[in-house]
Amino acid sequence: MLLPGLPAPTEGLHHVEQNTECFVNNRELGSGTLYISAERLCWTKVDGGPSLSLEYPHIAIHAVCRDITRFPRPHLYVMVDTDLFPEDHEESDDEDENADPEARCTSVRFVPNNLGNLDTIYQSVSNCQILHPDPEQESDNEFPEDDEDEGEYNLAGPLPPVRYENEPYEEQMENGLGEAVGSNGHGTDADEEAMDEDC
Amino acid sequence: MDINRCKKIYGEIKVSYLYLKQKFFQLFYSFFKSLIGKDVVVELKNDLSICGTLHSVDQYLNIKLTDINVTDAEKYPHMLSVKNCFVRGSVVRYVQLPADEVDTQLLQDAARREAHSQRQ
Repeated sequence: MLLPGLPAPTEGLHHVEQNTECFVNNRELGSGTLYISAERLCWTKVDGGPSLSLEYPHIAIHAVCRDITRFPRPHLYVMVDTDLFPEDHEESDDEDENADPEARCTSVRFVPNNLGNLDTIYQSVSNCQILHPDPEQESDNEFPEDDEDEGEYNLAGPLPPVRYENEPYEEQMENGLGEAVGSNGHGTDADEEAMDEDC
Repeated sequence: MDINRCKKIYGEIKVSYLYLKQKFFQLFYSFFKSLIGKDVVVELKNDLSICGTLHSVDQYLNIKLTDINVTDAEKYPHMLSVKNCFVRGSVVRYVQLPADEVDTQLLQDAARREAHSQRQ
């Protein structure tokens, strides 16, 4: 997602913010232009150089941060659920083993010169986020079509009736459908790992 | 093993699953809307936990929180104490709710009704 010379989006633009600095995991990338398009969130550096292209399904959180005790200037904070710079985690996790793939995320900060536009920027990202719901994909890993022998299935009769035990609410969320409802069950590998850890 | 019968049953299971999933989305969308203004803790799949006030929720269960705080600030120092944030629904693992704000019996009944309503 960090590619030099990536062309800026020209269609479906919700907002464009010039003179915006970009920091990834506190690594300063410089000043450039932020493009909030319906398709992706893009930042291109002035005079070429590395540019950033983020897809909304990978934006876990976005927020306006005005707490200058932690970061010197108000900015748009974006948490991406993938590792854009794996070497950052290797340096800082000398003690930890960082074997948990779920913990991988990247902090991206966009600092516009014009702070008055921060709320507009936040709202534009929100509006574009809701344009990208997770697709209703076929969850092959939950309903295998192959001849996998996971046990004996009685194919002669009707489908077994749905049964709900009198369990606490949290457990029902997990077991009732065989997956955590909160995770939306979209069948990604991350979902699978989360379910395994929790069960 | 009749492969055609297997495929038919697989198709039926998938249709039921998708129907139920849609129904449960609708159910929990309504449920979360009733909790707007209450304090919740949102646990993400990357283990980050955020506590805050539920500001709004949409049909995809995206969540907006206000007055948030990160419950594990040491592990996630980069997550600052922002005022408002937008959490994408698909990255949420759990939403912890105040027990006295949830009528679990009502929710269980509603869930059972949805599950049984799709059976002919």
